[in-house]
Amino acid sequence: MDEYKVYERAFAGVEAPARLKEQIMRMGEEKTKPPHFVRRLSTVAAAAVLLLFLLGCAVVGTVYGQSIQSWFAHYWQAVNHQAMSEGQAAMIDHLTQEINLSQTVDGVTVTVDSATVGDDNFFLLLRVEGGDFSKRWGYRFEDMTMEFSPDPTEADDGLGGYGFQYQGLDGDGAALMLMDMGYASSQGFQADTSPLEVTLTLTDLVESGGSHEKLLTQGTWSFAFTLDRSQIPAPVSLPDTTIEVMDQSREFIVSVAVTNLQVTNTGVRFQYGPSRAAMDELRVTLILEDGTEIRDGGGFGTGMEDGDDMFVSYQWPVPVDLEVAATLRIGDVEIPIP
Amino acid sequence: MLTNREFSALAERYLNLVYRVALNCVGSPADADDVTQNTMLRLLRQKEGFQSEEHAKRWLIRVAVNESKRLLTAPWRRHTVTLEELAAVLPGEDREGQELLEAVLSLPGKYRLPLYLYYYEGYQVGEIGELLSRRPSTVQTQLARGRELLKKQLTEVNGRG
Repeated sequence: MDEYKVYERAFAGVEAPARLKEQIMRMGEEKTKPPHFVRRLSTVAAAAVLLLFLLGCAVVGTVYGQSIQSWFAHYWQAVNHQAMSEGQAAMIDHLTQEINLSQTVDGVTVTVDSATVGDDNFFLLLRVEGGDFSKRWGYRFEDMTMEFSPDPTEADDGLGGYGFQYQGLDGDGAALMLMDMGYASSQGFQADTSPLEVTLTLTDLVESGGSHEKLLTQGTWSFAFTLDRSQIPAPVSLPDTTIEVMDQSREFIVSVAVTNLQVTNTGVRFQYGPSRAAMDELRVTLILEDGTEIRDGGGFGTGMEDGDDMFVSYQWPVPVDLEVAATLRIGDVEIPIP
Repeated sequence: MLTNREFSALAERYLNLVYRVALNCVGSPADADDVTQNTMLRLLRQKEGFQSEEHAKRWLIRVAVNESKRLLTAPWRRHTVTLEELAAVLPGEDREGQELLEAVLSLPGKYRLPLYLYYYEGYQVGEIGELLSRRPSTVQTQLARGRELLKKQLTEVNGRG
């Protein structure tokens, strides 16, 4: 076996898809006006996610409930192998707002069902009905845009994004999609409890999987709604700390000062310096009183407006009741939560 | 920060490399899309310049590896890859290429990237160790075991005719 020839043959012609290349080259062209919000191209087939829920679930056929709260409850059960506590469920209820906006185009009805809102991020549950859906394929919209007012990008040079995940079909055969949005500001976190006006535009419903890609319904669905940010609980501030991480050159260890550390029901954010620290591999974990660990689900970071520090904002994959949060772990450092 | 021209030049030159590294790490074209985009976003926001082309290339590989690790451990990102998904990565009716790609991507994760970096990108053991933060002895072991598994895999593929 000639391994060189095997690899040459296997990867000859393997290139980033044209669509992805176009998106990334456009990022560079728009750099004079920095892309404050970017759409994460998450088009994950949901087969294994469904499997995750079906295995061990007593109820088969109704994988998800009728709201984003039900989705979080099922997720919690599947990942933590235990039911969500009443306190946890109550907290998610508190953060969740019914949107219930529907629009029908060519027989396909898209509903923005509900939103779970944090102070610098939110989740949206979309339900799509009327399409000829199959469990074999995944579903997405060819294009999605979100606009905000007030627009946090007007004040600073931060970075944010919205992600999209197809979640599978519910018991009624509707396609469920979860969107999430997060943002990190170059001025650090700036509290804003004013209503957030969101305009969501979805274009062309596509069925896909492997080499299969089919335009299911051509059309544009537009929604305008308001998210109330006045009832979001205050964050918990934690003391500054120092962590040891590798420098980006991976040649030596750097002591990183972590400051302005705040934990919220939906994530954690902090400032750190120096910026050359290789924070890429850093994971942040919330440890509950019963030992349950909630690892961060990703986030955003940006250079601070002044100085060399970076500001990062991570999102929990499911909102968490801080009343039962015991410790925050950043890298190897654990900080008790009062 | 990089200028528009610098970013575009690096993206043009290394986008496919980043995508292939991501594909080797995560094993799925859809996830490789995500990793590639996140890696290029980090490049866009990179505050410090690069000392050389090779420095930039290695930085991109390391970031792609780190982004892949983050994605693989994200709770919502678990999914199985179908043969049809892999077939979509290669154009046309390149059946042999698809079978070979399937074979290399079906290797256990810890062997895939060292083998790719060694046999396709031409990096030496020590360089791979630096890129992946592994000891050279570990890389050598992984290359050897990866080769054995690949040979077995390809024997099975050829046996199916």
